[in-house]
Amino acid sequence: MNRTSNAAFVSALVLYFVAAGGYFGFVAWRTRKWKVFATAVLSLGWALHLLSLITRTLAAEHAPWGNMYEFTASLAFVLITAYLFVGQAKFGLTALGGYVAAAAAILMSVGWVIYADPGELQPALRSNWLTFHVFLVMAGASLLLFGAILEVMYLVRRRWEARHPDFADEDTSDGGLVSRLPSADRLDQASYRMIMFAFPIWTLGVIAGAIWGEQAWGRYWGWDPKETMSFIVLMIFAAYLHARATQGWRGRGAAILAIVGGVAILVNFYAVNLWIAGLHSYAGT
Amino acid sequence: MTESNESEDFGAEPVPPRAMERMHGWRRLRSMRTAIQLLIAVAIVSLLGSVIPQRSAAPSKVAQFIEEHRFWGEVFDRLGLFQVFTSWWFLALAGFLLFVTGACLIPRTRAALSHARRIKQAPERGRLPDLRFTTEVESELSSDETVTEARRVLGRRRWRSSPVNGANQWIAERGHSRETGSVLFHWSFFLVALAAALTITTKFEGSAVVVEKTSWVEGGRVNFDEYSEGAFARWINPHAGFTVAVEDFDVAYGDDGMPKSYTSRVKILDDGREVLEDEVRVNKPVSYKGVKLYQLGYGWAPVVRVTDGSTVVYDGPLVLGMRGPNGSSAGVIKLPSTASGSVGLELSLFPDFKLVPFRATNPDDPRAREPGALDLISTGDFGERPLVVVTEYRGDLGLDKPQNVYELDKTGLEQVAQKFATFPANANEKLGTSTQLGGGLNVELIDLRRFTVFSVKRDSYGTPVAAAAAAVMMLSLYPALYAYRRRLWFEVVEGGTEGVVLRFGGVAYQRKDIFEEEFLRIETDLTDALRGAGSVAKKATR
Repeated sequence: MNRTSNAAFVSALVLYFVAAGGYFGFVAWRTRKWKVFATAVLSLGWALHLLSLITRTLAAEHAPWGNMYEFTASLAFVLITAYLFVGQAKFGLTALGGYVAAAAAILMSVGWVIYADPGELQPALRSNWLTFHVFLVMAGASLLLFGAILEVMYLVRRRWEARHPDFADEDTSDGGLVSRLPSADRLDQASYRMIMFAFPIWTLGVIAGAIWGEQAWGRYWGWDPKETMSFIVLMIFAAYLHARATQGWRGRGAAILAIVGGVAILVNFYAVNLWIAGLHSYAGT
Repeated sequence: MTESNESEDFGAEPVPPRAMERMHGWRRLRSMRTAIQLLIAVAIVSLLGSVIPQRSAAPSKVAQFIEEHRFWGEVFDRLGLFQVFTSWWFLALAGFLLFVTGACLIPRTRAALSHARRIKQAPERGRLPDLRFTTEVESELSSDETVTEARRVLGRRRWRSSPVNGANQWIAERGHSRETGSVLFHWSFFLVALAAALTITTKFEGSAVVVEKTSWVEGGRVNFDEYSEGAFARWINPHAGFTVAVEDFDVAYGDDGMPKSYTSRVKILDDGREVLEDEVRVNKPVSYKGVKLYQLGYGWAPVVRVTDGSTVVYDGPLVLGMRGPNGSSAGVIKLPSTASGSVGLELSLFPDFKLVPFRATNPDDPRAREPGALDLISTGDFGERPLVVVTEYRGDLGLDKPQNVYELDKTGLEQVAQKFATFPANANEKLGTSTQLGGGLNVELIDLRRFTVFSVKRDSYGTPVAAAAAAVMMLSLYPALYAYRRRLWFEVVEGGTEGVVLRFGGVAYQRKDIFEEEFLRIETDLTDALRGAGSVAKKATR
């Protein structure tokens, strides 16, 4: 079971890199062939990724987020799922496929470096809240990250548009990669929707964590480093949501807030696990 | 938070940036930019609390930090940077954020309550063609029927409509739940603050160390190992006075030798009667009379009898609360007045002992030069091959100073002997169950038991209020983010091939991109209804 999982994981990882190449090919040559090829490869990778997570769950006998390898694998899975079914299918952001696939593949490569065999859960993690709380924060985090990545592209594109006042949406034949990105307006709209969708998920995840904390440690909030960082992420994205509706903050200011929030999420998941001890320290294995 | 002058939602007349700069005092305080700035400030201040070690989470790291950065350690300490979240400036910032939130919420709540009762009316006769979305639909029905049908179609889509005063015009509205949700969501912060205040002032918490086959009474701080309580705890969350008897304690190990789970089987006795029998595990606390017991940790507690000549000077389980080298744990017995003077005994338990060739970590260690030197280690924590090393110290125990019950203060002591012993079930010829020390002292091992550590808490009010706050927060967040307020105006005019035309226009105050689609769907529905196609289709399905 576990060997199937690992084989599927590595195949998915390779396919994501290939798909990323395909999407960049599409951006460069703009032919349907490239788009079909990249989408097909990414979808196949996604299916293998799903298979890998399912077999891992069966092998480990718990939801696939008991250690950092499993967590990273699931995080990348949510990212690709969000891109395929929302980013590309709903918003038509095909020009971003290369970046997202590459980001997921790099994330998974990091995951493969910190690979650990499926094992018994530590006593602290033996709870139904593991499935619920960790799933929510993972899904919320990867979607917020997706939103932050879109905001980076928004800033890049916005600058480009300011310098090219006579641009046409996605129809410039020169000007390199930036000219092929979706228009700033569409990027802005897509990232806003993504973050608006993810914010309640993250909030619910933090609340679920508080409930679990009450059950495991006897307090619903204790300013443990991981709790503090999650709180900071909430504050930053709350500021973002307010900024979206405020003169002078809309656009650039809001985008910067979302990007800072994205960085805070990465710090929370990796730096806090590896370098800052706390009650969540088992997550570092 | 006051959306009236700056949000995109009321973008018809945007406030020019220069006017924003002129905004002062109360209005400025209640502005959305103040909210953003405060949220960012709270995030930055909290970041300090996650980067700098905190007393509440890692007291030893704080001590180390002060040790290493003498001057800055002192400065940080003075500024409260080691306890950011209870420092006056953090509380002041949080309080100010709450104050500003309240200042915004009171007028918004008042407005939301009055809007809920009626649609605020504004005749739009002149403006109807100016709205961003306007369209006309020809009707096969009479004027009155057209209005009725249009209201019915909109009503099915949960639009509330009413005639505009003094005009042959109608107004319809949807999406008030956005404002209601937003107001409720922001009010829930006050519930969170109340929950935090209740928890901090009324909770008691402590840890209790209980050896297997013994019991512990939940009453008063003297029974706790570590203890803290809020200022009003003694009146609001008093001790319940019941007895917890630990029947036994079990550890299950995984294939890798790491503990998979550990369980304390407890009986709770109240007034001498047994009222509850249950298991306490990590993630599974036991609760009685509002007091909750959480499984925190565990360790070894050998039952020991020490005799001084014919007098028994110690008899009972000894909690080995200190971690020793090579997988051992240690505890001490302090005997200030034996017949032969003041004695300190240190007992180190190796639960699964093994002798291995000595490997020096320090080349100056004299044993490194000794050929064939051996070292004592424990290969696990199973207790299958237990060995106790008894070390005898004599001299001044230093009992006039505050003491750690698990440790000897060795400054005035001298080690005089080191002996080995094991337990009855494991005794062999070389290692008996008892060992003779100097001055007629005898240490006998009776039984090997475990102790369990419970975290004991009572917070009867803070936690439920926090749960209520979380529920309000989650229920109100979705409408606050996704619902959007929009309005339609419609009027019936003469014209078209049938003689009656329904003109209508709409505006969305938020999420304009979505409204565009909705407006098109409404147009389709109205066209179907007014041109008869819809009614024909409906009759057919009926």
